[in-house]
Amino acid sequence: MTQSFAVETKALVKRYRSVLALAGLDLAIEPGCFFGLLGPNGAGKTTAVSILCTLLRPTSGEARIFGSDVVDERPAVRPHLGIVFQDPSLDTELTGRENLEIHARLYRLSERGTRIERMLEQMALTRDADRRVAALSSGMRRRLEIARALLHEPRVLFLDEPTVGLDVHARRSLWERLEQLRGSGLTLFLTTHAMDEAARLCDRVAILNEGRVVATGAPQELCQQVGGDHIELELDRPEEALPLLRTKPNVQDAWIEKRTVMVKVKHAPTELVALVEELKPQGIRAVRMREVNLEDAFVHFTGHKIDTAGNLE
Amino acid sequence: MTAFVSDVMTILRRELLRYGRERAFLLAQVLLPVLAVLLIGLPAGKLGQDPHYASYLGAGLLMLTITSGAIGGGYTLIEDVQRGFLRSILVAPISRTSIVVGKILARLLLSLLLVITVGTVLAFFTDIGLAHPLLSLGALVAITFGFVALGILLATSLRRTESFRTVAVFVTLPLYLLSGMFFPIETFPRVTYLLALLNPLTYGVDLFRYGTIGVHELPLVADGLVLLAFAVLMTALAARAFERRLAG
Repeated sequence: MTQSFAVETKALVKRYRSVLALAGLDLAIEPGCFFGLLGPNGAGKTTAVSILCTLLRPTSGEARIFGSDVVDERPAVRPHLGIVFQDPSLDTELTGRENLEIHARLYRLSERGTRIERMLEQMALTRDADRRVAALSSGMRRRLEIARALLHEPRVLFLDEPTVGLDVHARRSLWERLEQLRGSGLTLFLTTHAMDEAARLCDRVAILNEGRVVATGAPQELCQQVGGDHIELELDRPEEALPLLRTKPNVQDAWIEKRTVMVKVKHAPTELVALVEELKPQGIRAVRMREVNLEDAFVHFTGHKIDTAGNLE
Repeated sequence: MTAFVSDVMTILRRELLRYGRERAFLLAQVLLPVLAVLLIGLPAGKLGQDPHYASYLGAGLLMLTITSGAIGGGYTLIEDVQRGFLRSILVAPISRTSIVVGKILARLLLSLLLVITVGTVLAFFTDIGLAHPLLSLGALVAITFGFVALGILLATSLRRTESFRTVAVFVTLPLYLLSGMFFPIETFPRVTYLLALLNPLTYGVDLFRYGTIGVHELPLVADGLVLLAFAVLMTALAARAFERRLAG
């Protein structure tokens, strides 16, 4: 393997008794990339992160962080890792500042005070730094975890489902902080089941399905690979429309989602008029057009749709 | 080696910060033995016409403080696993041994502090003192190791956090009652006397009492050997259970 990749895995397999969590994961992430690993709950995202963070041994295959093996060269790997776990991992009895102080000592950092103040400021936590973590909001706790993960200046920051459980406002504010980290040379490894999050943040994504990467590339590239546009129609009698649509040569696919008829075509603007004309008898109430997004690409590559909680529908 | 020491000190610092947050609980741990000696030890001594009973009970209650604190200390390790905090330490470039050693050291320091505080208060109206301070310290160290380990073992064998306190009571109450903390085991009926001899805590109480008031009822060599074996065996079992818990 070359030294040039920030994160690299080859044929990585993890088996828990009868369950195959990772079935040969191959990743190669360039330094400085904001990378997203996408998949529903149970796809193996957290397993992959745990292995890359030296917490879990793979059954077979290899994984390297900046050229160092995560099993055989743990002491070389660990100082480079910053991790925000899916579940909270702060000491809730201590204050934010105390959490950072303990962490700074565990990494044997010099100039602890200055670093801590800088991180607190960067994550907008200075005002609340001396409150017990138990008294902080979930958004603040997440930011504190990011502050902790960045304190020792890691080369790779892992974020395992960082916005799960956050309200819309906290989620946005976290995205903004993460976007600020882009371009600093830091490699970011995000796992998420939220496609809007990945599309907004990531330079490159890999779609994980049943422990294997089924597609990889920039979000835009994946959308282009899927191709086509969507026309959404709200009809009085949607069920009548489907058989009709499926006979049309220009319609690539058609289905009903929450009483709305979804039609996939090559180029929506040229098909729209004909389609509306065709479906008038079914009582059109509203029509929308949109380009293919990452969520459609995900469905295309995995054959599944995921709900907002990250479960397969 | 210096790295190991500094890691242990970091874990120790965190534990002491946490213990510092539990001031009410610490105050209770000071007040309860003092009140028990005043309100039970002294009157019971008068009733039984034994002026030394208060000192005797006082020494036993100091050992109770050490033991129950140690069980709770072991439990906090598993609490750290369940609350996720431990993972943030495990990914740091430090050894697992330093985590456990730091935790036990913190508990030792706290027990020592409690014993000195309560012992000083008790010294005003009982004979509790420093008859053989090194032997008291030995008993404190061995029982702390053994019971921190027992706390870890109990906590790792339980799936649910809430059941820990209940189970801990069922395991520890018989150990306490059969240890001669409250009465000499010679006064026990034959069956409970034999059970008391099988209880490792009995030897801890005996050695600690000799260390503080100069009285013992079992051979001191037996106390020392049993405590050493207990501490080593329990620590080894707990280390294995902890490793397994982390692995799976």
